[in-house]
Amino acid sequence: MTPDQARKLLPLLADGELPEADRRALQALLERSPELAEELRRWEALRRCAHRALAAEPAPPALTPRIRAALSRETARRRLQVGGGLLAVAAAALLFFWLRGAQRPAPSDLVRPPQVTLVRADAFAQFHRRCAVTNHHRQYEYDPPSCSESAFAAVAPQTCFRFLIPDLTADGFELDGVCRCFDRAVDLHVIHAHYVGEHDGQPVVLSVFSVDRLISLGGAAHASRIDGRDYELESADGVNVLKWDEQQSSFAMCSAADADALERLAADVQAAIRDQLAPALARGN
Amino acid sequence: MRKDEQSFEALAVPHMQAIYRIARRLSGDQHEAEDLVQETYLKAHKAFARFELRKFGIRPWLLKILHNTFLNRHARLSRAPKAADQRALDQQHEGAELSSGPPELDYEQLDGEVRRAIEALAPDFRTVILLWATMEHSYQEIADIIGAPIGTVMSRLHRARQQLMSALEDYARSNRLTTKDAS
Repeated sequence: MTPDQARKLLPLLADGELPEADRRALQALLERSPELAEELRRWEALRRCAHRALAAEPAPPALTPRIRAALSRETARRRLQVGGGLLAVAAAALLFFWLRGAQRPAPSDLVRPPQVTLVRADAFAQFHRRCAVTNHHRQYEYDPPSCSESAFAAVAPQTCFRFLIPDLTADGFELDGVCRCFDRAVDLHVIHAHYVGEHDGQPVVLSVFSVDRLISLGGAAHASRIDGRDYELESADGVNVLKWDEQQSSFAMCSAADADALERLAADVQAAIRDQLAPALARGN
Repeated sequence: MRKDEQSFEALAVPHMQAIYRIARRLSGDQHEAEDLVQETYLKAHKAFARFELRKFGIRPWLLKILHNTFLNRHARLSRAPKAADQRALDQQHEGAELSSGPPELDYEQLDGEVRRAIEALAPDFRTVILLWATMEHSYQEIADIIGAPIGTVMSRLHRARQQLMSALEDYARSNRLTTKDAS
């Protein structure tokens, strides 16, 4: 075995991957060559160093509960699928009664103002960036992926509050995914539908959040009124967040588009929202 | 073995630290790594009925899912082909060959530099070197995980180590480190 041949085998020897015969021959050569022995030592040191450098990074403590919760949701989803039509009927019935209930407030609601939960705009901005812009989260299975109607049908059996996945194709936006990551960060139930498209000739990612209760963005938000509807607008981390209420629920839109563009888009979205809410309300009545 | 939800959790969750560690270094970002781990576990959970517990346990299977999930995400985000082909990878890194083995440095002091150099590797090389360094898997185990022939693993590992050493040499040169002087 020549020194050059031996040199090529050194990393394999350091990794314990050399066949026995080659290993013996190389060991014999190493005993006669301090230079090769030193090179083997460096290969071993490099491996130890890489192992040490990569080993010391524990997972965040919240990751295990998060994975367990995701697995539980997945299990529940499968059980729902096993239940098939019967459960779908039951869910539809629940939705029916819930919508009726939402339209006719209980007597206590007439005398007590509804509680409003404070959710900071940067929370919406954070999940817009993470789920919609960066990771394109698709937590639900439906086909085709850009069909808001299919998405709505997939999410509805697992959701007991009113939510929106509007069809925005007429506004140049395609549905990119739906997720519920927001649930993990705050004590709320939130459906997050996100879209990709163009607005005023610019590529834009748009998020539509449906929250299971009334929320407020807090005192820093700018209040505005568009087409008779009250909005709260706030910027966070380069993202504009526009929030409005529908009966006992709140909705928010998020985008890096400028505030004027987002408000114009909100007006367009209202039409799509009305289209999606109308059938549900009709069934509720 | 009963393949129910509890057996999946009992088998898979204890490996989460190891899976996260690889995901963290593959993605280079904590949040991205958490998403990768979650997607890996959900896919594994879905496919658990088809999983056969072999002598190496569930971890190589989870790593295989992680690897594929990462490549799919990477391809989707970069709108690039699903995986770089071997010849392209080899051509990309031609000229990086070092003939004298690892440079003479104090490897006890270079953890941060090694970490940065590994994160700078192309994804296919990074996966192989992470499985080699972090998990101390054999070449055959790595080949099973990434679904490639053992020769490809050896070639990628060789190239990855060459690049790693090249980065360390550059680091030593720019910091005027010589043999044993790194400390």
